[in-house]
Amino acid sequence: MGLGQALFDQIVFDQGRMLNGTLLVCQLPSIKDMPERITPIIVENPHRSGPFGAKGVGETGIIPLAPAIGNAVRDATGVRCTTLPLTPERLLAAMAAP
Amino acid sequence: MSTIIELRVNGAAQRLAVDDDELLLDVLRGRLGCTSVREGCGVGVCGACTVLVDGASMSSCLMLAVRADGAEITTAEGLPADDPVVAAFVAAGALQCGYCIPGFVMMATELLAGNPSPDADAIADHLEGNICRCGTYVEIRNAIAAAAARKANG
Repeated sequence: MGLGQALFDQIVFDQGRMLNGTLLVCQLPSIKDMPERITPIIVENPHRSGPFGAKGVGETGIIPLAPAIGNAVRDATGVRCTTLPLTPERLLAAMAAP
Repeated sequence: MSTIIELRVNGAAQRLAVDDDELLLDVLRGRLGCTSVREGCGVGVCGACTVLVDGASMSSCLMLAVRADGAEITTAEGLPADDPVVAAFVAAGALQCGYCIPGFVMMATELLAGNPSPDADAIADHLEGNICRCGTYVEIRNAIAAAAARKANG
């Protein structure tokens, strides 16, 4: 639901070889990473080219998650991180940069 | 080399010749038709292949079938038709694609057998090793709480 994309999902390559090809070393969100509650708010905005204005409602919700979390991180730390996922290592490096 | 093993799967006695390197997962799925047992990662970290072996959860992708000799195995197929955990998952809509759900159901069954009224932390602690790529954890958590309440009320 976008949390993984924002905070976890990364594929690491070295000289064309994938280094984290199993779930042992490719971290996905667990039940402990989910918020208590998710409240979807559907903003009806007809699609120009969809039949009768129809558009997807499922995966579309994933799109704003990473920017929203990125904004929250900037609000909390003052650092604008523009590379996903927002891992602790990446954020520490960004905060240490002059 | 193969070995004859005897085990009970969902209450039915089975006698099988299994290869020494044959996984319990493959025996349950391929030879006994328990297709609720799914291979996710194949290395014991996703929980999709979880079954109960003598009441304790086990990743069947890590267990050799020969080691199940004499064991009582329960898969999602072996749960009763009115199982409170399954009913709660259905009522809560606690699935999207559903691939991981039998593993979650078996883990929840084990949890409620040992702790009939788990709090949110106990549920999360017990299910931390199961991965749902669709991210339906919120509904899963609600379903298990509802199943516990339903069991408590008879």
